[in-house]
Amino acid sequence: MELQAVLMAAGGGSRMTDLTYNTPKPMLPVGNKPLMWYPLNLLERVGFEEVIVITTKEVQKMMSTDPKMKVDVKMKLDVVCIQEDGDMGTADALRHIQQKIKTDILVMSCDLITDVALHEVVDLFRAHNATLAMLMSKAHEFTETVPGQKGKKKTAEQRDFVGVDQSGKRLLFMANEADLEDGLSVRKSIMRKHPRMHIKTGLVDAHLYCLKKAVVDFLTENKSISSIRGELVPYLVRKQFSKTTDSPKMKDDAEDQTQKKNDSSTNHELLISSRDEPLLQLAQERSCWNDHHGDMSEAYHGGKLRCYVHIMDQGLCYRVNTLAAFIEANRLAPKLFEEPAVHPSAVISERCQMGSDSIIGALCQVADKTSIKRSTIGNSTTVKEKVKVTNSIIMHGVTIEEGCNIQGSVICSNAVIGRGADLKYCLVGNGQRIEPEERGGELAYQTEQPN
Amino acid sequence: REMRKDLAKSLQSPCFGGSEPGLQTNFFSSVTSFSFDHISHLVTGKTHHLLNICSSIDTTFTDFPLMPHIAGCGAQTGGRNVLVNRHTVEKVTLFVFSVVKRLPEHIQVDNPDVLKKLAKKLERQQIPLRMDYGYKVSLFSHLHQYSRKAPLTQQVSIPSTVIHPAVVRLGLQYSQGIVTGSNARSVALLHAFKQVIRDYTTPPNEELSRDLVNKLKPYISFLNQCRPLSASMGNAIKYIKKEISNIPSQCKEEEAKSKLLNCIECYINEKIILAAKAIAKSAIEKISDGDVILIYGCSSLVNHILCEAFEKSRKFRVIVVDSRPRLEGREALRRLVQKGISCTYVLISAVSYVLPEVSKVFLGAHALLANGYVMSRVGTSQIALVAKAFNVPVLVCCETYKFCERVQTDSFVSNELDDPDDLIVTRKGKTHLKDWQEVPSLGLLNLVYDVTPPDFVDLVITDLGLGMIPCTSVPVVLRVKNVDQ
Repeated sequence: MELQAVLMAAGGGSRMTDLTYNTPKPMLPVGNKPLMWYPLNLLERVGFEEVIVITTKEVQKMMSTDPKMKVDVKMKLDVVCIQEDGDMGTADALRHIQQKIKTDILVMSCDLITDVALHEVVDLFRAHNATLAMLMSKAHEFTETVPGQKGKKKTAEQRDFVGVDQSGKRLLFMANEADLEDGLSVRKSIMRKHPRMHIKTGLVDAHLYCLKKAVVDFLTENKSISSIRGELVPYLVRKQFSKTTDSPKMKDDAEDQTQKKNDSSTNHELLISSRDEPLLQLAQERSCWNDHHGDMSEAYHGGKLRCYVHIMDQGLCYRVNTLAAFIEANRLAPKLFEEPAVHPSAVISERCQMGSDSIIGALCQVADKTSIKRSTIGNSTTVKEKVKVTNSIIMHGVTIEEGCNIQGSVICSNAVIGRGADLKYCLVGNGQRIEPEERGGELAYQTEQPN
Repeated sequence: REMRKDLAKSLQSPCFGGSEPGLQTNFFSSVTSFSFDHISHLVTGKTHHLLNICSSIDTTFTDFPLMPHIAGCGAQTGGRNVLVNRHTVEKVTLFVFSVVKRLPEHIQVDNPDVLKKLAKKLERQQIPLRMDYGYKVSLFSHLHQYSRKAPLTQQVSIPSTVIHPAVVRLGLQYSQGIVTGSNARSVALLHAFKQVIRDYTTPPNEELSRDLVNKLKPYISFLNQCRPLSASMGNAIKYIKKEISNIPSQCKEEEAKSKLLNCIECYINEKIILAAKAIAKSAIEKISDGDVILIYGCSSLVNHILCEAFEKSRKFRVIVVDSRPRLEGREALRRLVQKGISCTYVLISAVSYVLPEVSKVFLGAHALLANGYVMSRVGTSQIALVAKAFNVPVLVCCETYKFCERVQTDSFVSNELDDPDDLIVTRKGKTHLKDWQEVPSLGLLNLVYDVTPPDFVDLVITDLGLGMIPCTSVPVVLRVKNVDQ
């Protein structure tokens, strides 16, 4: 087997607590499908037959009852539950399932919605015998107004600095602004080997990684690494250019203990090899190919650890981890699947004006004289007469009484919007009741969250 | 039956002397289920004439090679026309034992029937078909032309289950040019096959000797789709298939597998590593102090020879000739300069300018054909031609495992077309050829190989026998090699 897929679906959605305090993030409906369905669909389309899903018990329960998951996903899902409140990072989760991992892995996050040609990332991994291959995309500005954010200033996102070589494929440098104290410093060893480096900000990390099996073994030895994105990836990128020792030199000095530990960990990764390392060496020696020109070193500068990145400039790639991303994803997700916009079991009256870019879920009831434009209506939702819904996301089981006007809002599951309410850019939480004739603008209606 | 008809027709043609009175041409053909590489002996009544019919898979009917080593007559032919001295030959009996296929499909791309057959075969083996790309120059429209931006892995599932992952990786490395060079490709191929053999388990009720060969066939088709197989790879594959079929049926699986792995190791050791050492030894004798040696492109063997000669303290300097779009000479330059050899670097357009200074030309080869032609990187025949004009000796270095039974007299009939977009270059921010597909009268041609006639080659340095043979003795080497096997 070549690659095992691992889906990380235990994340909490800490940046959109308004939506996730009742529904766990992997099951949030996007285009009337659970968020988790999108990465699973990508894996299935590409040809995977089984996926290891790391998630919480709650999500597992919801998965087994959700009809969409049962029908649309034909792969075998091996669900591994971890404690929800435990402080488990993604790398810790990998360590947890270390027994199941037999070959190289493809790690994905459950909040990734993309139509990338996955072979581009995997080809980099295969062709260059890379230790890490990841996917990034040019970030798109979200233009829609985010509901429920009245008065809240948008926190400046910490920028990510990504350095790639001239070809744009080899990953040379990765750092987050939060980790850089007084400036971006680039090691001389990198500049000597790659004199031309392009540093890009404004890239979205898709959290899709191809990792060699040796990295998972390395993680089991080094229990200090807990997050793939935060710690493991920068570590691997840095390690590409660190001095490698071929034979562990015995150092008696106490000061050099840490050095030795570092060396031994490097050696672990260097022990990635096929049993025919000399043959591969021979083939590479005889091949007249070099990945760089202008200096005296051989291909890859003789380094065994290589990290590659595929940067998408066209196509969809969203990480649904903020409210703005969630809304944008709902707008664009229908492009990813071919189901009809209106579910066949929905009952739509004839005098309803429905735009072509709206989605109506199963078992909906839409009454006369309603107008639904650019919106997503969830399953089992009732929309009564004379309701105008524009640019909004209505989740499952919602009841909207007559005469409402809902614009640019997000209404979570099982909410009830009273008669004649006028909501603009509001966020209504789960099971909330909006009083009739309510006038809301940029408000978030929530019950008090238990602290 | 069709084969017999065709053979009869070609034998009737005047060049065969078939219609000449007094010359009886009988032939007996039988098709068996396995192919011999070397067949037949033709024995005539009065005088013995040995006619070798090399019927390898690459042989076609139109260039059915008959190489009569007519003892005593001194005539040697190769290629299409066979002149048989009708006064000495009374009866010619041909025994043909083999499945002689028709023209190989990779040079019949403009024939839709052949393409359909290929598509059907690939479908059966569950290998995706790679589509041709771009407008092909009409002289070469019978060859495949693929784009690097459309790799075959687009159509292969991730993770690949039908094709072994090592083979997928290899195919990718071939098509992206990460593994180039005849030797490197063969070594990488054998490495991948080692992994395949290691991961292989015989299904129940099957024999390893037959099933493993069938397992390898789709992999070979896949690799062929990624990049057409080289002659050295073809010979390596033939060797492995023979070794696998020779495994006795009572052999246990573990034993058989370790035997095969051992065979592969031996093959690489003998044919590549030791051969390089032997060739270097012979070649160093030809390098004298004060020599100015010209090399072209990046041949792993020639680089090895020069590095060895430098270590043995010969004083010489090297002129590296390079050409677009591959610019492989840069890599050769890097390796030589790293050793400490003093080099000059020119592009092929300057070859006639530097040749007056040159004392010898060393060329590497992709394959040596049975009629003595040298198949090598495009541009080699130019160098050989100009060198001949300046009376500079041309030495071709080639291991015996690259000797191939095919016969070719020009660079058109069988060649490889590389990605035409490689010719597009951006200078000062302008890419002039960016929209070449929209200009209807423009075609970009990126040839990979060309053939050099034996008249331009003075010596072939190889690892069999004395080491240095004339170009025309290649068929002899082939015969000796096959007799050994």
